[in-house]
Amino acid sequence: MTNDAVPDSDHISRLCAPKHIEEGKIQATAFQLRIRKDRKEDHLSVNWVEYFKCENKEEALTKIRKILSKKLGLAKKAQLALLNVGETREQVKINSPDKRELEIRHAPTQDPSHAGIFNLKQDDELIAELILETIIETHPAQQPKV
Amino acid sequence: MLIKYGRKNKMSTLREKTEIITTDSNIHYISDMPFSSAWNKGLVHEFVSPSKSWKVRFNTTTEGENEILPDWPERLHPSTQTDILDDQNFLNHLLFQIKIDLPIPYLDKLVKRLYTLIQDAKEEDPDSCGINTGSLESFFAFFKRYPTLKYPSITLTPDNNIYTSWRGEGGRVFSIHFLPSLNVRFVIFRPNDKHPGRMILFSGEATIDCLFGEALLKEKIDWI
Repeated sequence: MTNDAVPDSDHISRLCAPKHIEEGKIQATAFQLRIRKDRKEDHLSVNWVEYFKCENKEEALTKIRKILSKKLGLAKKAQLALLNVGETREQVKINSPDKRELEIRHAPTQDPSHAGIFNLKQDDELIAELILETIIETHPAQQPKV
Repeated sequence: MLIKYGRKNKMSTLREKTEIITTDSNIHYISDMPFSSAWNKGLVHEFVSPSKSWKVRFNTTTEGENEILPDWPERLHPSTQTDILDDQNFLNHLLFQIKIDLPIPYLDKLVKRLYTLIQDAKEEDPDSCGINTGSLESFFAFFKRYPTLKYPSITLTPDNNIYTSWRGEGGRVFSIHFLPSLNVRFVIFRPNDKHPGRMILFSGEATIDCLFGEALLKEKIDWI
């Protein structure tokens, strides 16, 4: 259902653009909101990995890549960061000065697996660094050639 | 492009590296980059360089001396110049200043990284100039003030401000978000010496000239 919370046991993937990556390592800027008035954001866009009910993670990431490549185009150096919803929410809540409770909600658009990380603020560098530390693994955004 | 320079100015270090030409209107170029200078009121000139042409408007300064961009990369007071450099040109100027005036041992690597970031940002948004010039000014001023810091990871925020991050042992993190007007926001993670296994996390905002002084007080950031 739209706007339902993504279960804590599930996973999300965040598309990280090349400008947020140096020497293959994603940095906290990949988890910051856009602040510019004309393009202000109130959530970080992610994909709900378990939405597609695939047999395995690779199959799900393939579907996500297909959707993202149609929607955005995927740069060669871009990466997908995989996070566990519950772990990310817990780490941010425990370690943030204001005990921030992130909300990760299903928010389908033309992309049915689209979800958002809500309750972020415009100057949340510390929260972004905390989210960064909960990345489980990273994958190339472009489909690897077999 | 070689340019021959004939007027007295403060750009002696540049003169050693490049010859600079002035015109009767006191415009001079270094590698196609126009610099603001003492202006003659009301004149508009078009100058053609091998690769670009520029239209610039002039105003007089109170002392009538050449005003050369100072070492400190702050823009000149608006009452003394009315330059119409757009962001892209100003970005090019800042990058040139960084290349010639930043006394750090990893300068080549840093400059290469900045150009890569510009390219990455432009691929995402062809209309952007790449890096927010206000942020790059603050970044330049910071590394000029603290040239002995280790090379950090350098990325761009979603709005194309520069963000640097140093990571050390024990989960140490020191990250700086470079804002315009010599402001920065910073984040620090470090081990809690009194409670092993736990971390101290804090963030704040300061100007670059007091970041390692009043802003961080007794916080020892000696691992960067």
